[in-house]
Amino acid sequence: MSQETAPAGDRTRVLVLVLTLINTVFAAVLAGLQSDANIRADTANIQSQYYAVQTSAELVRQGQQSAYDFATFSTRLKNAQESLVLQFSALEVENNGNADGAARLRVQAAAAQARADAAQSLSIFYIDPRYAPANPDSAPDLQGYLDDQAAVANALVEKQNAAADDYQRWNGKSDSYLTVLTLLSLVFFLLGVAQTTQRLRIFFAVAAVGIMLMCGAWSLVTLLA
Amino acid sequence: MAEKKPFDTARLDVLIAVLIAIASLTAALAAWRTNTVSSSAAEANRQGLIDAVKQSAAQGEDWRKVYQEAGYARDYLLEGVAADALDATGDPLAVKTAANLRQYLLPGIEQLAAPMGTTPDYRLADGAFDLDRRFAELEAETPDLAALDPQAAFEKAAQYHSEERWLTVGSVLLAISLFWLALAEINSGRMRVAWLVIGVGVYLVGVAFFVVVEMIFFILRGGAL
Repeated sequence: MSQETAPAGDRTRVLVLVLTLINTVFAAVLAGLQSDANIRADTANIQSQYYAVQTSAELVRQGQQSAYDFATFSTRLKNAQESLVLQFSALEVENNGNADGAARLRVQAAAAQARADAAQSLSIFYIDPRYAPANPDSAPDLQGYLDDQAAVANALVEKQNAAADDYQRWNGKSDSYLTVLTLLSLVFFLLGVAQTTQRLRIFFAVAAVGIMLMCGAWSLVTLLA
Repeated sequence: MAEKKPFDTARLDVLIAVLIAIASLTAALAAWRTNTVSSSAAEANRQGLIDAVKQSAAQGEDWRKVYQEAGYARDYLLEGVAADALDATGDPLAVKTAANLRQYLLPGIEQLAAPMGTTPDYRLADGAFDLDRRFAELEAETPDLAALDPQAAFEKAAQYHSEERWLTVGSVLLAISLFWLALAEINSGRMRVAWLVIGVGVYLVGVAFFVVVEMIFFILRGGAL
């Protein structure tokens, strides 16, 4: 009788052994995947922070450039307007018979116009063909300038967002793999118990296989996500 | 009296136990080395981020200075052409005003406007100030900060991470060898020799793999661990 049952016991024992081997390989592969996901998450995290630093620096530089460009532009506008106002005033004063006063106003107007012309020669809004007015009466393309200014920072923000999304994705994967690895340690425990017990060996083996299948499905979903 | 099986000798038990001890020690060393490499990668990433912050702060300060100087240079230029315009009118009062501008106002601004506003070399063909040239000069004044290269640190970290991935594979092989050796230790009969041979084989492959990976990355890093 015992000679008939012994081979069946050996078979289940070999089965448990094979399951342990499969679980070991599974855990080993998963450990590799978890390590890889962790490294990718770490790299994406650093890249995300690096782009954030670059974006911040670019925004500061951009602010300084805009301040200078608009100050030059407003200096040009202010002096051109002042020159115009002084010339109108000179005309009015001249019409009132005050020729000396008109001449002095025209001198001031000439100085203001000289400042306006010099400012125009320095202003990106007049010397850069992308923003320069199409004709003397039209205004420079200020919106185009602002769009171009924001483009560099926006591109950096896009990269930063992409890196942050990568970090979230790989970090999530790493967490999932870690959870599965924890469950696989439970499988090792169940298989160890199955190895040592005779009566409930099948029960523990089936429980271990059930958890292994669940872990396999979870890992596959995580891998393909 | 039961006949002693050739594969259940006490000598084999001791041999397998010694092999398990060696494999355990090797696996522990492999885990330590993998962890060290991971730590080096994290350190390189940290250094890269620190360099990026320092570099962006230094560049931000240099740009701020460039635009500040450009503002003074613009004001100096504008007041200079205004004085010229006043001179050109021929009006005695205007000429006197121009002379006073040159005597009292312009020298003060000139100090602030140098070198961009006072050196014609700093004007581009379109009339604008050569801000990039001035920025490069300011960067050259702080060679330590200008030489910071965050990307180089990130590339170094990526290389360490790459090594970490391969070392993890080596560590997994060593762990698998331990599993097979443990099977050989706890089982009896002819199969234990098979488990032993597989265990030793996987162990040797794991060690060889580990050594080759270390050598490749050692050479890639120019002799640095």
